[in-house]
Amino acid sequence: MPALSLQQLQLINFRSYKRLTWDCPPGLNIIFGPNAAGKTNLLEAIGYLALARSFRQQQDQQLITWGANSFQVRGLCHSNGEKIELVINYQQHNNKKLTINGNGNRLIELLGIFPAIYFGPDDLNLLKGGPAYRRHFLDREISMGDRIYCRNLQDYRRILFQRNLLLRAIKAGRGKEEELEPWDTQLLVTGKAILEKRARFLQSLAPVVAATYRDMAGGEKLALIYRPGVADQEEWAERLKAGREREIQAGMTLWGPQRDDFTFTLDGHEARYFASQGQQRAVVLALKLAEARYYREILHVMPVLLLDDVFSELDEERQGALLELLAAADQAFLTTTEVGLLPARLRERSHLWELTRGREPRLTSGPAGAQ
Amino acid sequence: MYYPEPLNKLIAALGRLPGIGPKTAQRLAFHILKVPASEARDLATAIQEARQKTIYCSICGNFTDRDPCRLCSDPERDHSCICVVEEARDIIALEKTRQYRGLYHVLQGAISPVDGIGPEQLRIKELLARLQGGKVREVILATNADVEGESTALYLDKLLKTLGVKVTRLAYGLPVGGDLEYADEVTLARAFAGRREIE
Repeated sequence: MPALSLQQLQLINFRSYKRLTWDCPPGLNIIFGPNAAGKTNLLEAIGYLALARSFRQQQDQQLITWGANSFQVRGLCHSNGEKIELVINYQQHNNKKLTINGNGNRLIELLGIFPAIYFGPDDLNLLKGGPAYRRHFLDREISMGDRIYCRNLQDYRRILFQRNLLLRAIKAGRGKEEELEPWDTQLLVTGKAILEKRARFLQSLAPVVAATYRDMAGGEKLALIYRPGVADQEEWAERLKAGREREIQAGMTLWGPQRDDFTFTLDGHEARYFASQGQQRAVVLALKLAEARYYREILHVMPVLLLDDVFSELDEERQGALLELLAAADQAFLTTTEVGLLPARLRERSHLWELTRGREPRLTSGPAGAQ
Repeated sequence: MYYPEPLNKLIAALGRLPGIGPKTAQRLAFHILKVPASEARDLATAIQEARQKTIYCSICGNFTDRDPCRLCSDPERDHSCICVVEEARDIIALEKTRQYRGLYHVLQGAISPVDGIGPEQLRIKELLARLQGGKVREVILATNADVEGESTALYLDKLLKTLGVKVTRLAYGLPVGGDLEYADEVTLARAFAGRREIE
């Protein structure tokens, strides 16, 4: 399997970092420091190299250091013995540029080069939050391994945007109903491709999630169920036809993959309503672990893991499952406020980095056995 | 601020052109001030004349200095075939291929609700008028491959087929001379979808 790691991270005006150059070794890296030291920002910057987007669902604008008008994230990556330099520049007002090994590239070319999985406290929203969180998860994960999906998604959003404006124009008497037809055709064709890929992704992810949960928590049977916004293309086309008036009145497209969702059940009961706090954490952890397994087994690459303050909330058994995954990773970054709270066998195998606000991480100790 | 007022005005005017940022605008303005006065005057005259003497062809909508344009009035060209494009500049690209001997029709845009452009705002009525006499056998839709171009093509396809004229769409495919491995996935996927038997 190709080994993947980040060797050096350079930041300019990214969040709390005006400037940063950090040489980071492969293996396990624990970053510790008080609150607001910039631990999450560091993980966010590394994650930015995966998709040129924030894992915290923030606009690029929000990532710029206060008072500046652009930022840069530069990563020197090691992928399967090959050195790859990724540079992403963002200029205020939405001008984002990517260069790979010094050559200008379209953003879509970034996908799959440096896959990373972020897991943090907010991920509980994957279970308890609204469907938008789960669609975001789907789109991010599928895009990382499938550029055509990413393109379909861009097209679909554009079609949806234009179609909704047309619906509003028709309502205001500035357009005719028959003008919807070409947009309907495109909506159905592009939307179908998205529905199919999401179904296929969840189909291959579901058994991995179930098995991961069983290994970790035992007891109840976890199931992941896709709830598509429309059953199939025929039903969708019917609904569009029958619901024309409703859509015009609403001024928006009422059916399609933009309404997709997926849910978890434990022994057949909706986990978001019936599971305990501890069970819910275990479900989300299982999903994240399964995601890593999915990459390893289906895409044949082990992504870099970014674990944001997650150990303290897990019981011993679940910590064990996470440790097992970490052992398989080529590189992982973990943050914590208190190193003492981490399992000793994890600390012993890690580089420990102390972080103070706005500064480079300072190495305090390396893994046992290393010099 | 730093420049005399006339120079400021020139920089501002150049900066409004597409693809020209403030730095380039400044460089161009300084260049214009440095060249002989006659050269600057020629540029001004060229701009003015192009504006005054260039009109839209009343038949195809292309830029021309006489109406109908050279393409529409050329008896050597195939008047039974019309290629529909979004903008006049698309004609140049197609003409460079030297493969197509038919006529053109410029829509002057594509369907785009966000820009307030519907079928009414495009030169579709003019296209229908050209199909009237029954001399046209084929209409080739050569709008862009983005969602707006695609919507325009789908709309025209439906409209024109009711008139009994043959409607075709430009194929999506691989750039010629391009290696398969360098084509991006999206282009490849579309080329796959549009594959055909070897004749």
